[in-house]
Amino acid sequence: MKLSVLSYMAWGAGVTVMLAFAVILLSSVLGMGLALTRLYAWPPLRLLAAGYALVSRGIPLLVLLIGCYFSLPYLGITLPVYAAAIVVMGFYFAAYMGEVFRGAIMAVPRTQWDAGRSVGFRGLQNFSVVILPQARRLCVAPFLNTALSVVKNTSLISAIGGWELVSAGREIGERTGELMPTYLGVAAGYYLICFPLARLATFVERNSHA
Amino acid sequence: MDIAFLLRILPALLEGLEITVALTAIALVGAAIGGFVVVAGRRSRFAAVRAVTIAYIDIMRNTPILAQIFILYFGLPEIGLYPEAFACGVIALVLQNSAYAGEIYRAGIESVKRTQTEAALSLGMMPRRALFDIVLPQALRRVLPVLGNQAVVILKDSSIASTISVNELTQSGKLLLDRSAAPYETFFMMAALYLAMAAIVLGVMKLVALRFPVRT
Repeated sequence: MKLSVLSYMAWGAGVTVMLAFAVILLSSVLGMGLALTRLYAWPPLRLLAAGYALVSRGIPLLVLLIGCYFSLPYLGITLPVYAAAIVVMGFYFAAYMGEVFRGAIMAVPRTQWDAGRSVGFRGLQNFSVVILPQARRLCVAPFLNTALSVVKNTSLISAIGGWELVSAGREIGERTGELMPTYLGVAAGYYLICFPLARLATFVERNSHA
Repeated sequence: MDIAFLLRILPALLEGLEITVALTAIALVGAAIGGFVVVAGRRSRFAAVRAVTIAYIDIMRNTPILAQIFILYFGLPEIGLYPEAFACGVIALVLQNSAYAGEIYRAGIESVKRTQTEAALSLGMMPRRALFDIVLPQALRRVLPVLGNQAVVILKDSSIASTISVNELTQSGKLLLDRSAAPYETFFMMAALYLAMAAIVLGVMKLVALRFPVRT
């Protein structure tokens, strides 16, 4: 493989990493909101959040990406493809992130709330000082696994015309005619991005059972 | 929202739905069986077999199914193999999800206490029989909900076969989106059909879980 090919792939991998980072950021913020809504909000809102999680986990991401890509122009909205993709994926993965955070908060024993109250913390303060730090530690491994899933799913952005690692591979493949080595290279690129995340997740999981 | 239009596109989408169901069903059975091969390899007494299996799981976990589908569909012809698009979709789904199913089975097996095996052996059962009659039934019951979620993942990932123009639900929806100037209706219908299928898969898994409850 020539050096120019490798650097082109590396550029694609860089775009993939940036897209994944943006999606992880957006979906974490939205997911935290969803988790808190489901746990503590006014009951009808809780139901709504649960419904959102159910619906967005039952529809394929590709369908959402294609649907929004085709629909938005009809609404008079012309977003750049990257922005549209990040928003759609952000909202899609918010449901998964929400489950990660909700699971972690619920995994903190109830007695911790009582203990917090007994030393004088109340409501929001109790939550942020006593519960949240413990939940944060519990959610690291599932968070990393979801992040890994985000990285892999950014590959679907190529299906609506966003340029990233798979698109870079397709262009190289079409130009050189060597599709097999090129797509193997693309897979290797994703592997290099995802492997550290997966390793870190296993490491954290193994060391969190105190 | 134009109801008459929704009804008009429904037949075209249902044709796609059939292929989605076929794709999902075959991949589901394949992955359920492949998972057993993976877990057997992962727990093999030969270190080499274990290492190969771990590498396999690692590769499947860390590469997107889209890349695998492209390797199969565009890459294999270069070495003289010409698999059909549908077959590529099935193979990619099975390869990826066997790894996940294997890890789910393993988690289930490891959650069954060692004392269960010891009790079975002390009653004079052979190790193989202890595994199949005592450990596995308990293990599988425990991981049924997780397997249900994985089944939904397979259903959703089957949409990726549209990228190599398998005429499943997403692809037929995409063609309708291209031809008609009614993106919401088509999109809404596609989403509704996927949701309905996901609900059916989860519902069936719930029934199975009721039939095989976890006993403590």
